[in-house]
Amino acid sequence: MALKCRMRLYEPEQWQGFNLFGISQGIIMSKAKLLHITLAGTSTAGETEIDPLTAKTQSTTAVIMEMDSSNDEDHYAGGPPADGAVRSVNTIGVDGNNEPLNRTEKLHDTLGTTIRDTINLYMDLWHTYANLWGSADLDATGTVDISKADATLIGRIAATANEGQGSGFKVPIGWRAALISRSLQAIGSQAADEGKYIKMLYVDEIDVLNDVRAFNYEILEVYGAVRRVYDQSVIIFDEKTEVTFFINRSDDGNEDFEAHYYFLLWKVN
Amino acid sequence: MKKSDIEEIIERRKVLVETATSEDQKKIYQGYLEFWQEKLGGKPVGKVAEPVVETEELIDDPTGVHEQLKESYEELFKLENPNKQAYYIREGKKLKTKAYTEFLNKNK
Repeated sequence: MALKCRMRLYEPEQWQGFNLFGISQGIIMSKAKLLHITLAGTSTAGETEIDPLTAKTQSTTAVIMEMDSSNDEDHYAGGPPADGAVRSVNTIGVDGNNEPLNRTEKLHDTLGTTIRDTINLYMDLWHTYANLWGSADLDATGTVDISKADATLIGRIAATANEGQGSGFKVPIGWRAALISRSLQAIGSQAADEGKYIKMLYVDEIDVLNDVRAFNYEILEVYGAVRRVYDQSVIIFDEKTEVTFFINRSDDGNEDFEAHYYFLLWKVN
Repeated sequence: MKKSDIEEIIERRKVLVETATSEDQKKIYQGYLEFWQEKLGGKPVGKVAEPVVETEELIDDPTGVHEQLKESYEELFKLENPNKQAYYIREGKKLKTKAYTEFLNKNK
């Protein structure tokens, strides 16, 4: 199983009513958002970043992007009932006001291979996934790409898939993030001498400048009889901290895994 | 991609440049416009040409012959023009005077 990531960003109204992880009302009131990252796949020898974007945006200026598919079947309009396969894509990105947001971007009305500019402007893009389909198919017929407006590929939804690339994120300027919960579990068999671990790397602005990254990671590991690990201790990340995920196998054999990370993001100033 | 598609994209990029809300945005959109114009094979519009910087030719002179010749030319110049300078200093650079340049051209 290839390495895959699912990312979802939830607005406060989507999770209010839950006393989620005992988070203070002060944080919830300051535009707090919940980011859920699911990582899955097969561990292989050597450290591998889990389903990263092809290229990162991380601009200081919000600009438009381009979207297209390698197959005309992926297009927005048509019908009723609507024809085509993937009609639009949900982007998780950062807008011109440094706010992480979900946005819907439509593919071209009739011919998916024709480039369509995004409606929204982006300073950063973390992840994409299909969110509307026609009657023809319930996943992408071609590869659905989102690129910079000079055709530099940022992220791709593969043909026959609905989830795009992108497992990491960079805490926007004026925001803070907290890792509030995570788990890793073995899927399928795991012999006594087998295991795997996920390394979450977090590099902030100062670390980038000084290249002192030795302590800026956390490891979750399952090994042998330990098939699931779970942690609720909190790590706080300042603005401009970049978080990325890597998988490696502890010892023998390539095995399947699934991991969940929950981050809270809130506006500080 | 079809030529007509690229032409359409170029038109859209032109609009982006015109309607950019900041200088930074305008610069990025200008880059996108030039990318697509080059893709079409045309010369990018509005691209500022790099200024041509004239530099003095450097000659390898491992034996020092060139340096000796330069010195003897300078001595000759001073003999013929006792009231004139061969070089002057501007912004830390040693440059030939007009009189010395003319002298060198005459004696080539």
